[in-house]
Amino acid sequence: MTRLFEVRDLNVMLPTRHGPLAVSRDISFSLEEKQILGVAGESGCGKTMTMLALTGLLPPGSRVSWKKLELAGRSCDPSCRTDISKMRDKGISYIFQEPGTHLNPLFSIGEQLTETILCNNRGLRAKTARQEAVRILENVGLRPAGDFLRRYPHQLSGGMNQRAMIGLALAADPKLLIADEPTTALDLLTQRSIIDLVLSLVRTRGLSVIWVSHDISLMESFADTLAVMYAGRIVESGPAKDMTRHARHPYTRALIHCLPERLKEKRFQPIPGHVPALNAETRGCAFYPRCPFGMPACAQAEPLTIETENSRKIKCFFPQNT
Amino acid sequence: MLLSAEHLTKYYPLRASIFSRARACVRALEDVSFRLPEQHSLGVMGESGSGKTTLARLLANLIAPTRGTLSFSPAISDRTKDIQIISQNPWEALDPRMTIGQSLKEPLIIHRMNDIRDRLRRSLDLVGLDRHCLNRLPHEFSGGQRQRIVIARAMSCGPKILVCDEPTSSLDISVQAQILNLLLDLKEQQKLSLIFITHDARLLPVISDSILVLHSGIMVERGPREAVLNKPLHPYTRQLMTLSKLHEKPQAARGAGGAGCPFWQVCSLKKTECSEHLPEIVQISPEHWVRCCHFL
Repeated sequence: MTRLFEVRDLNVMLPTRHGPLAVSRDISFSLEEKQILGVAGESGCGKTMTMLALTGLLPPGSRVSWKKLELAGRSCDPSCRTDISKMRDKGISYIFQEPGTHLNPLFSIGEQLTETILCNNRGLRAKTARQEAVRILENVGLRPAGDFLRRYPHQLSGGMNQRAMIGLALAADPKLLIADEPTTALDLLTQRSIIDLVLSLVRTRGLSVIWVSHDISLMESFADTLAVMYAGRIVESGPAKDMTRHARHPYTRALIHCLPERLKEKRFQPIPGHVPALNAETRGCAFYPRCPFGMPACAQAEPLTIETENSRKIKCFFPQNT
Repeated sequence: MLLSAEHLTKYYPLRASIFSRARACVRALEDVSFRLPEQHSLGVMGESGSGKTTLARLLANLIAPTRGTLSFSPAISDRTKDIQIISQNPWEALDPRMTIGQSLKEPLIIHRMNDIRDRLRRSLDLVGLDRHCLNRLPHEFSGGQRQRIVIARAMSCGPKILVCDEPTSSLDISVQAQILNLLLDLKEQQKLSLIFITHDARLLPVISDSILVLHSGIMVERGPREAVLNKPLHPYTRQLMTLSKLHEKPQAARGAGGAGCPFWQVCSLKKTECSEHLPEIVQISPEHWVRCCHFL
């Protein structure tokens, strides 16, 4: 296995009316080739912001810094503004949550695809680009492709639009695909078919995938490694099966317990309280106010990330044992 | 019986423009029958495009059925008041220009209720929101809080039936658990009946007492919760149930329309006659019905 992507100590600050807000802090992870990393957490935990930062898609004025950011052996210079966009152009594609709002309603699927193909291969002839577009559409399961080239996003269902979006992502011939909640708006059958499509792309094209979702049990079924984010930090990470079977951080446990299949006395088990606002400055562990196992020490200082056996990383003073 | 639906059918006409004649129809719902006793919750399960939302809109009197009847017990005197609907998307259900107070008051004014203030306070207490939110606007709230506000608005006129059209599909998983617990509490405390529409079979064991499964607008199975979840009869229901256990890989899904059974193309048990005509619905046990030629 070769390492494809590595990020160490990524910090993201967003400008707001009330001053800069830290939305991700000290994010570190790495990804091997042909691997799938699942990123879990509630809304407002900074999952999307982190992914946008890794691709240089944040709004202007935001400050992103890192110690190391490397894709396929090519590292990125934090002081150079455009370096990260160049890295993205070379090998990262992004699938957004709502395909309906991220595809251009004024252009047909074919026009959008050929445009992307031509942007990535300067000097290609329009006819070749069109053939390539047909090939891609067949690849993502939109057949007959010639028919779909002429259609507009509003003529397609949510699942088909998501397929078209994956097609657009493939047009740039990426090494890494970032999928930000790609199936949240879809029903179960469509969701499964999109997952199967991405898995087949991992096998056939050797893609690596970062899959962002709040459904940890969904990702357990296909991800190799999992990372759980809370309040802009990665609180636990490790091999997927091991993480969900023996969750050690109280937040990971809480996330697993609020799944519909975990019932207690005929009631679902939501996590009490709310995700803290990003401007709430806490000295201690960010999860302490909601944590059922919290101790006074948790309020005093932020826990460091400890590494345990079988490459698990936990950011907690009192990791739970199963 | 609080409500009974007989052979509910809804076709939507297809027109080239609004002035031209309908040339064809979309079959959104075909021959759906069920009964809803008091304090009972009926789970309606199906994929997108299966007619779930059409059923919700028919029940809430937002559209009229093409064929079939809905009859109500005397307990339901005013349909618009006693049946309330909670829509899928809390972002679109609240007017962005109205304060929460104005939004919550609107149904009370329309139904000429007295003691508006008391009712407002009570419905806010029911959903666990505090009174300060009345002067604020929808954009100041998160998705889960907005869904609470929508539920408060639905509860304010004291409905007997709450039609929930995928109330949690746009919410994240912890908020989903909160909202579902709230609906279950309301059902018990306020003696409500629920019609709970969802595509997630994982929610059904808790939220529903009986289950109705739709495929392309056709009711393929209906029965008590245990029977449908543990011993599903229709091949389509079986497939949906395995899908909810996410680790198992489903077979190729979906069938196309046409005259026959909506599921015949991908059905593992298909016979030749499946493609030709729609099987009649068959009673298997007093409460369990299935529409599949294998049970004729």
